[in-house]
Amino acid sequence: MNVTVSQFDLLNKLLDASELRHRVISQNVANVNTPGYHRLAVSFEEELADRLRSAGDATIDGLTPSVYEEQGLTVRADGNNVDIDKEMGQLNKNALLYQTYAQVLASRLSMMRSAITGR
Amino acid sequence: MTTISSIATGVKLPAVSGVENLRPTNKSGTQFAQVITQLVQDVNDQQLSADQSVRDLITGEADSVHGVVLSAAKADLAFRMVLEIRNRLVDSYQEIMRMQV
Amino acid sequence: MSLGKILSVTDISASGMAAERLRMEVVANNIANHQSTRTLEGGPFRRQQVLFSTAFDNASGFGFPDADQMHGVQVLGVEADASELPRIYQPGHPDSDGDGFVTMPNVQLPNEMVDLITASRSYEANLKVLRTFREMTEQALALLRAIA
Repeated sequence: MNVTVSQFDLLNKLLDASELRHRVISQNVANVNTPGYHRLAVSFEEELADRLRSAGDATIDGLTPSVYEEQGLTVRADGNNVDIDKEMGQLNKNALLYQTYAQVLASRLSMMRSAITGR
Repeated sequence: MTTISSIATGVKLPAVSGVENLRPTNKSGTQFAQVITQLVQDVNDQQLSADQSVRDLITGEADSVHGVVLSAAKADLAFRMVLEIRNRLVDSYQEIMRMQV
Repeated sequence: MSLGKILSVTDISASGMAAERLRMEVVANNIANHQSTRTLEGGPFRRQQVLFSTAFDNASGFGFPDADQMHGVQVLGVEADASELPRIYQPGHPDSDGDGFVTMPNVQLPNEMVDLITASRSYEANLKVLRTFREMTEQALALLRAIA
C-alpha cells in the first residue's frame, strides 16, 4: 500500500536540491573575500526538465543534484569571481523556491489527510 | 389515443431463475485477511523508517530537516489510512450485529 | 555533534562571519596604529592583513566538493604587509634619523576604510544567509502542521 501524495518523491528531490543550493550559496558568500576562490553552483532543474520531457515522471530515480564550478564569470583582481549581489539574488530566489515546494507538499498532504479522514 | 392500461398489457417480465445457486466469488483469489495483514505490515515498515530517520536526526546523520519531516508525514498518512479502514470495518460489523432478524 | 549534518550550513555562514569580524578587528588595529612609529619588535608599525583560504576537506584532492565537504572559509593567519614604509621629513620627531626623516607605518587610511566597508557588507551577507536558512527550516517544519 502506498498512501503518499502524487509527486511526493519529486517534491522531496526538489527540496533536496534547493537545500544543497543554499549550502553552496553559503559557501560562496563565506568565501567572498578569499583570493582565488571560484563560485560554485548546483545543477538539477535542467536535467530534471530534460528527463521529464523525454520520458515522463517515471524516471526521476537516480537523478541527484550536482555541484559544479561556474565558468565565464568576471574575475576580480584577487582571482575571486563571486559577485555578492548576484549571490544574494540567488539566495532569495532559492529560498522562495524552497518555500514554494514546501507549501505545495503541505497542501497535498493536508488534502490527502482530508481524503482519508473524511473531515 | 391509447389508454395506459392497454400499454401495460403486452409487457412481460423475464423469468429469473437460478438465483438460489448464486454465490459471491473472489476473482482475485486474495483473502481478506491477507489484505489486512499486508496493510498493517506496510504501515509498520513506514513507522520503522520514520523511527530510523528520527534516530538519524538525533545522532546527527540526517541530511535535512525536510527529509525527516516527510518520512514522519508518510508514516502518519499510512497510519491514518489503516486506522480509518479499521474504524469503518468495526462500524459495519456493529451495524450487522444490530440488525433485527 | 548532534544535528551535525543539518546544521553544518550554519557553520559555513558562521565561519564567514568570524572571518569578517577578524578582518574588521585587524582593520581597526591598523587604523589605530597608522601613526605608531614604535613597536615592541622595534621600528614603525607594519600594516596587518588577514589571509583567507577556502575550507574544503577534499579527501580525493580533485573534483568538486560534496555537500558535507564544504566548511566555509578558513583564516590562515594574520601577516604583516611587507610593502615599503614611507619616509616623511620631520626633523623634530623623536624617531627621526640623522637626515631628519621619520619612517612611518605603511597604513593607508583610504584602503583601510574600503576594507572596513567590504568586511561589514560581507558580514551582513553571511548573516542574511543564516537567517534565510532559518526561514527555510521553519517552512520544512510547517509541513508537520499540514498533517497534524
